[in-house]
Amino acid sequence: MLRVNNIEVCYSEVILVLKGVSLDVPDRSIVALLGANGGGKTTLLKAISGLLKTEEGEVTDGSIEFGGKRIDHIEPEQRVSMGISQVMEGRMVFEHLTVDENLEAGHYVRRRESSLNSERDMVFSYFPRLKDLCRQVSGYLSGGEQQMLVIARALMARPKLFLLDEPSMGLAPIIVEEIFDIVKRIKEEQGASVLLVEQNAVAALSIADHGYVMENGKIVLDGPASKLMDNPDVKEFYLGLSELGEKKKYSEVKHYKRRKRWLV
Amino acid sequence: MHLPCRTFNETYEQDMAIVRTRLQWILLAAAIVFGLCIPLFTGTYMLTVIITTMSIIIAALGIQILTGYCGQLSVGHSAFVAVGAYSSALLVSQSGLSFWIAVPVAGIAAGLVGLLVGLTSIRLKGFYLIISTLAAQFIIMYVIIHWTSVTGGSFGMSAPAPKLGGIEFATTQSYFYIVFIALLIATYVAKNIVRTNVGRAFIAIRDNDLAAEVMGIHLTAYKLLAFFIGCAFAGIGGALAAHARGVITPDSYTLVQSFWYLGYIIIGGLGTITGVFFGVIFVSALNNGLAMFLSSLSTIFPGAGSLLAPLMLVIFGLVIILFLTFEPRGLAHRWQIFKAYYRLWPFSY
Amino acid sequence: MSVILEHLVIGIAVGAVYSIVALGFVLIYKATGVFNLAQGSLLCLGAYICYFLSITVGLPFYVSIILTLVVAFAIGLLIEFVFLRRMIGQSHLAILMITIGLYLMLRGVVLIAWGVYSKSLPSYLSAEPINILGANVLPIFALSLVAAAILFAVFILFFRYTSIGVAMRATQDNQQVAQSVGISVKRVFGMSWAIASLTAAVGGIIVGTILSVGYSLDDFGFKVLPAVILGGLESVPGALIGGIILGVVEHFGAAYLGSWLIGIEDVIPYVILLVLLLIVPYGIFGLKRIERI
Repeated sequence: MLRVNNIEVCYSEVILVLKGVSLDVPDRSIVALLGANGGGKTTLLKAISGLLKTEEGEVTDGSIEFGGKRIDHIEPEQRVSMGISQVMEGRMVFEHLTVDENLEAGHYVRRRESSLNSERDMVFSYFPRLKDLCRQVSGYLSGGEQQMLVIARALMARPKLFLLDEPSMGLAPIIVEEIFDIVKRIKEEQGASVLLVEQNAVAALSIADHGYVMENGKIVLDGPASKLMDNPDVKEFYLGLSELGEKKKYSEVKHYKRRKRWLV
Repeated sequence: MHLPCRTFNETYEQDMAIVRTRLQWILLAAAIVFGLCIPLFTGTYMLTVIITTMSIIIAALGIQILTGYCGQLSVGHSAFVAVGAYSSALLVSQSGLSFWIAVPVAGIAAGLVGLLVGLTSIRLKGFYLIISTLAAQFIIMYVIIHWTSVTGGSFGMSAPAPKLGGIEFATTQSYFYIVFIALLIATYVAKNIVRTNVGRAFIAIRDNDLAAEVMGIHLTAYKLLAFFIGCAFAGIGGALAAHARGVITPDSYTLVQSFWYLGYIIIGGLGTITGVFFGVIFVSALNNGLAMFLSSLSTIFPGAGSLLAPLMLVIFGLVIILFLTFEPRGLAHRWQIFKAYYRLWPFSY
Repeated sequence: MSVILEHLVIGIAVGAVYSIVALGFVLIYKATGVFNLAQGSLLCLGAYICYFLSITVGLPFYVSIILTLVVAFAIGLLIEFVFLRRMIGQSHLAILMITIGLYLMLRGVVLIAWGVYSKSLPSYLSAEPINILGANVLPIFALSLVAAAILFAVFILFFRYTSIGVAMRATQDNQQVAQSVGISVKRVFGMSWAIASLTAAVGGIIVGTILSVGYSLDDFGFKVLPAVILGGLESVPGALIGGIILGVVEHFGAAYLGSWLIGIEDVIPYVILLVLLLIVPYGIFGLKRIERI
């Protein structure tokens, strides 16, 4: 469905952030994108959704294809109507608008194709809690509710591909679990694909079919989610599990070397 | 910006120096000598234009410090110019004070009025601050127009020519020298303000006032200082122009005039002293060029001359928009690019 | 007592005109974050277009009003496309100065096209005062009250219940997020300029009838600034209330102080505004901006 082919991204024509990234998101699948901060994950999502332009970023090389068509030169709003919805990092609700109005704004691209009420009911079937809050001003919702709202808002456009940027950030584990369950349900019931950027690697890999690991603007590792879970490097760097706990000194040396091999 | 070949700044003094190389000294001296010779070969009309332009530069230096350096957008600059003009004219013609005292006093008066307006900047910023300078424009001009017994209302009042000892500077030529020297002093003072700690505090406030405050810059004091300095320059420029013209009326100090002052520093380049010269001279040349063109046209199309003011408005507005869109750093930046190009010629890098 | 009531009614009627003009400011600021100092020029242009269509071309007055609104809408779109499209994302002060450039340009254009002498619109209303609540008011003021009521009702509903209205508010909240949900920020900007130009034209026709159509009508934009600021830059109801307060204050100022201080009504709003702003720096209904480094 989505094919990112060897893209390079520059900010302000100077700072090279992505250095030849390729990535595939097949139909009806969840792909997790892991990696440390500053690795270029969010930049990759913005390159796909087209929001780079507002930040003086540019795709300077390579191509992005969605459903067989190149999309790297069209406007962000056209990409949304083609079926790509990005849920931005940091629970970006329209603070001064009510929950209902937020959903209406999300429905904007499909305002001629479907009725607002039927779409809203569909969204409420995933997020029943929002139904009770629909008159509230969204700036005053709790973090978990805001995260649900932004996913719901993206769902209003009935996307074929979700780009989720750190949905777990700053949320309690139980809420994260709830949100991830909903994401999985959306994928199964809506037939959508999800590209999930996460710091919380355990949670992400538990629902993902495939995973990529990014470091310093490059993909350094990829594979099926179950395989990544077993990879010792991933385990140590991203899952926080270590088999070498006892031999501490030796492990640090080794850690450093392995880490270095990754970062080249 | 790049320095010429084999010129290195090794000390703080060198880094801060206004004139850095021998060539610059020569050029500066040549420019001053040329300036002093201007009255010898220009006609009275041309000289009046030059005197007006120079006094506008002095006033525009003020708005450059206030808006270009300190970031306090003022849309009432011509009202402060008016305060200077009227105070000086009043002091000379009513109180019989000497011109040489009246002009600085007029500057201080305008500065104090500016200080009063600046008081609002403690609480307000951005768009809301525009309102207070706009209010200053309207309130000051209201007072000037309606206080007929003192200011002569909309008929205006006279501003006599200065005297020194027994010499009266009544001719345009002699008055030229007064304004020219005032301009030199004003430029030197302005340049020194912006390159010392005061100027750096202004720039810090412009770029991020909250950060500046956290760094220990006393926001209130420096904002008020910027208002005082900016408006004092306006007052002196206004006073000099007033005595040059001999008579002042309120319609030279409208809101549109205030916009022109903003336009000068946009075209010249915000936050540079040289930019003020470029901006004012560019617009003045444009205005006079257009006037000449239209007056020559009016032999073919009678009435073309009356198009001058509106056409100039259109062109000036358009030029402001074009500069903001395509060269937001103004002519001063173009000049820097040109200098760098000439230094490196014939090698492009 | 009845004298005070009469002043109040007239003040409110005049204030209704102000609030229509103030609405234009708020519409542009709300959606695009631009403080449009050329709002008065749009008003002036609207009045002249109406004059041109009804007197110069000789169309029936009601046809020319409708045509004026259409043309004003198009002019708004055009101005946004030609002058402001490139500036999206630039600093607010730079865009503000663009609108100053526009103000100068439009004044020049109007002067070139129609000269310095003011014109008058056809007298479509009787000059016979009518009685509202015991106050004698010219019919045009009654009409402006109705026009203001309709415009404000339409816009409050528009922003609350239509998708494009919600999209415009969403854009004001956060442009990038609005883009991420598929709202075309450019179209929102174009729309808001078009709508603001349309309201300005409504204001222009009304003001042009009350006074006359002259180039200095563009100063009206500055005259209503206290109303805009008083109401808070983002608030549509604020524009209404601000406009009415301005009208009342101005009228009372003229009635009670005007005999000693001629023309005081032109500066009273600014004096009061300054004092008020020092107490409430964001206006009565404005959003308080939270600033962080």
